[in-house]
Amino acid sequence: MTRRRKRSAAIGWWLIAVTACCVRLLQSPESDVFLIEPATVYADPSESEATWDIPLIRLNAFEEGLIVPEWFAVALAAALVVSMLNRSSNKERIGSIILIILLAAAWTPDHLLTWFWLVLSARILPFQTESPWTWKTTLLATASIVGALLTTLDFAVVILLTLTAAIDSTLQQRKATNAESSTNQLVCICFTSGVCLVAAFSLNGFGETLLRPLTAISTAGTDTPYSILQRVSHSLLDSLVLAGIVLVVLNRLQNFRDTDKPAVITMVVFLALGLLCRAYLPIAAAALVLVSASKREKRPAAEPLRRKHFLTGLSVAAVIGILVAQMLPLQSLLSSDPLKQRLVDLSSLKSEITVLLTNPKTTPRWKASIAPPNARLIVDNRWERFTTTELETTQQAFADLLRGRREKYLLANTKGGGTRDWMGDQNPDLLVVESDQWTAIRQLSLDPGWNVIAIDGLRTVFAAAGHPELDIRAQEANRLWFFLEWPNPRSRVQVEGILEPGLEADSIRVAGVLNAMRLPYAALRVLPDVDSVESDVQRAWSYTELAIRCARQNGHTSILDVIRARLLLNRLQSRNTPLQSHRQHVARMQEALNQAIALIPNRATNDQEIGAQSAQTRQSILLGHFEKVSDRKDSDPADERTQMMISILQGLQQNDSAWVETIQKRTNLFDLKADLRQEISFYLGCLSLENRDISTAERHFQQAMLIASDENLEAPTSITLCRLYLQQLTQ
Amino acid sequence: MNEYVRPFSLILCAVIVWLGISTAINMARARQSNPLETESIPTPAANAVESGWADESTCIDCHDQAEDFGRTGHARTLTTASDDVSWSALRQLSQSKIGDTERVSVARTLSGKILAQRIPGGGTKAQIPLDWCFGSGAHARTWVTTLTDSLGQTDLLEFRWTWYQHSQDFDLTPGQPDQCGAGHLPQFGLQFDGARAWRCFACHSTRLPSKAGQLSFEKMHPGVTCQNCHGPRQAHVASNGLSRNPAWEFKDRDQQVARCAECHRDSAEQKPETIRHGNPDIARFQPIGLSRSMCFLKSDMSCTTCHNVHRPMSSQFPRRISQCTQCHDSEASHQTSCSAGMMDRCIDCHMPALDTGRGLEFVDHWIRIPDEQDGQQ
Repeated sequence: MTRRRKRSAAIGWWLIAVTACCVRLLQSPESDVFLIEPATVYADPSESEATWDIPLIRLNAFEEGLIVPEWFAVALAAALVVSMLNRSSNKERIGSIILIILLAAAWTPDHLLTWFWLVLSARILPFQTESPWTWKTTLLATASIVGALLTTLDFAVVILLTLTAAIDSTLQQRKATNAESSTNQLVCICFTSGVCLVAAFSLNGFGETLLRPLTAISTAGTDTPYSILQRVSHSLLDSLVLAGIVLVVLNRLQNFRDTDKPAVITMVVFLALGLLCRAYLPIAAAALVLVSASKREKRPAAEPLRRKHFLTGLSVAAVIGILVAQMLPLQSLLSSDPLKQRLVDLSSLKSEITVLLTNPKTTPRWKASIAPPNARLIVDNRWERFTTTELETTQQAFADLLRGRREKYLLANTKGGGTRDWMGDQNPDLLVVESDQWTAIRQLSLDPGWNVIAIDGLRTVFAAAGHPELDIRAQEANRLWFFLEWPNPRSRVQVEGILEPGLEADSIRVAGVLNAMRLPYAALRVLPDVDSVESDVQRAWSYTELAIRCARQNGHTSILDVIRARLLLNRLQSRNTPLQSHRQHVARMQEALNQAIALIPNRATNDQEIGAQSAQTRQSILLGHFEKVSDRKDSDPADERTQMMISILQGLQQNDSAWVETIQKRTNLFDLKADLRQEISFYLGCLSLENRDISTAERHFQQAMLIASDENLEAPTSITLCRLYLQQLTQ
Repeated sequence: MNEYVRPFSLILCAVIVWLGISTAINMARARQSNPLETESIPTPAANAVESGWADESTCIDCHDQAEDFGRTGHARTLTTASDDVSWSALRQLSQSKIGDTERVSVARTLSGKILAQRIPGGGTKAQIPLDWCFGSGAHARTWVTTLTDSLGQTDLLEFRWTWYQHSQDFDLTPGQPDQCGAGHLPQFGLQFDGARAWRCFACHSTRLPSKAGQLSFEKMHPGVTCQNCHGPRQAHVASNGLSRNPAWEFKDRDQQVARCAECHRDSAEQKPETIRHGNPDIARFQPIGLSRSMCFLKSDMSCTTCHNVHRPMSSQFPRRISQCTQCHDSEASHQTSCSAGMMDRCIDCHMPALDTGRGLEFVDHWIRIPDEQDGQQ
């Protein structure tokens, strides 16, 4: 094959690999991209020197270089995949494509450096090289091991692969020639084993890190959705990837001989690692592919692609690329340093504080963010440092923390649940919750012991009450949250270091956090004006919160908010949104609205003077059965409330803002019932508040209160929100 | 190569089986990884377990203790608001002084639903349904309304007015503000979030399935009954009593007291400065005082030394000497006897009832010699 053809073939394979690697990002479109996970010891200051760490992480330049843009990670992953393909001997193009897809489906950015060292160390596998073990081979082996030791926590797998190669080579050479010829390999084996043994006994934490894969295997199966072992659980795609890799390996085993037993044993070890631990799936997949590559067949370095195959591959790649580009935020994909722009800057917190991440999987993200300079993490993602008991206790505490269960209660295993004891021991100052853990955010935001001090699209940061510096920050943050909800022109608020809307998708999640905090107007203000399921869910949630607020405080159904919420929820239900979480949330919002309506005897349906048809119409509107609602012209013209409800519904259905003017005119009609006029004024005030037209909002709220006072309306609770909103907007 | 074929065929089969299992597990996990679904593993609450529960009407077939148990306060500590016992107390609200002052009344609809009504200034009335009645009536009864929030969690409204046994009348519920809240629901009481609502029901029920914070009242078993303390007993019943679960058996008295303290509370739930004897605020949390009593510290006594939890309180302690004479028998020369020369009514002096507010009295379980201020005997 000419050099030019080789190059074009390699580029062709690389392009296909790039496309396949992009698809993996769809699984976690908002993932942070780290070349390796920065891992520093946080457990206890007194033990901070006690655990092995990635040596190079102490270099600032290296640490900063860990976060790379997604495009770079994809390109690198694709290059490594092609390199692995290059190692293999698969003659069939379809087989190569399957391998690319499997490896691309398995890759994660934080394993790329380990992949690199694996690919390098695989060059010395005896069944991949015809040449005997020379000093160059020893040098290569040493470089792989030292490189892995300096840059990854998973150096054990590289050492295992290198030792496999050395043992395999020794056995083969002894069988083929004589014992003396394997001295180099034996020296390599003894030296590596000796160094590991000495380091395990002399360097604190080295042994634990060396046995990290075994710890992961032993603790597999105890994982939970929010556990510190989140990385250990498999998804369905992971299972399929592993099964595919296993089948490829089994197919290749036909070429193995009796002398390849060390390689077979190593493959069984990697298979077990991949089977039992999600965290090691990419490594296991790569290692299995590399080890199973056989020397018995002639190995085409990069099989040439025919022109039609090349064009077909490129076309497929282009189509998938377009789809990926539509589904992924390109801004994130191309941005050179996306993460820091998306995370709120907490560096102004100067005190010594302890931090608890409710999802320790996000340790690298915390490390990469602009974190407080004197912050110390209580728990990180180094699972090898936990004993089983600590692990169980911590997992339970995390689960209870997210459910707001502070006090002791009885667990099914007759042990005690509740976070009180555990939190008392750990005593965190900051609590970092994922911004989509809404239940936890709601519970914690209601807990007087915690204050929300920062929100971004990925994290919501709570500060413990009682800490002098954090209390000041909490006051500033509270002013901002209240300003977003009720934009009092006299308020002076600070956004920097408290709120970071980030990308479009981040803003939607920030809106979710504010909704979880029961600040629906604030949520609507940060929600981007985009047509997406996520944004519609958040918008519907805001309207639902407003309707619930009105029902609980004013004691009547907010027709405006109920109709808006029902319209959106009905639309989302008819769309049949793909995510189960969205479907469940939509169903729960519908249920909450039903309960809010049923909770109060509302003026909309309990009016004694209306006929059966009007009652039916009103009920249909409130329950969201809009198809049963007849036209306004068909309803009783004397029934002003039904007329108003239909006007609002039709206006919103047709996206026609004229209904606002129509009902605005009606408020000035004195023949309209006072309670209806007052209610309309309230809605108009709410709409102005939503649109941040504060002076108009004040006017409408004051008008509503005036009507209630003049007409001596005997339901003082119906103006509770008017009074509250006015108070917030004017004082 | 042939030597590899057989083992690898086996591995292939194992992989396929494993894939099937992992697919099923992953499908289950996919549900759990939902941000709304935080009510899941690692270990669920004991009362949230879905299966393994026995029909408690069968307990009486073998256990005499079950005969009287239905009359205990524990068994009756949670009923529906429409229950006759609840309604008979609740209907007094309209006639009560506070009901009149705060213009609140109750009504029962034809369907049996209980509605609380309030007419603050005359004219339009505000009303809410009442769903559950907390308390056996031994001390008091408090009603609640359950609410659903937009995340599907069960919130709670604690009714502002409580019926007290000692006065046979209504007064404000402990913890409620002196003035009625502003707003539709606040005028009827305080609202509790999902976690707090769960805790209320968890201590007043035996079985409480919930999903993502939403309590399943249809499957709930109200009241603290047999399986609350003895664990789910379906296997025990099915095996005619042969099956035992050692995890649910107390290994020592500390475990037993800790079990009671899960609802009756322990010291860790109180601020340290409040833990002093004679403090009415902690008198209702009996394990706190008991665990500091010299009687407790110098013996092996536990809650059940004095209380037979299987019998109603009314049938115990006829002479108010409790079980004191087990250790303080005046006829036994080697035992410490009462220096005041009293032969009965020990608890009147050594465990006085303290007024915890609204006239609600609880026996102080910090057993001590009166007038000792430092708690040391």
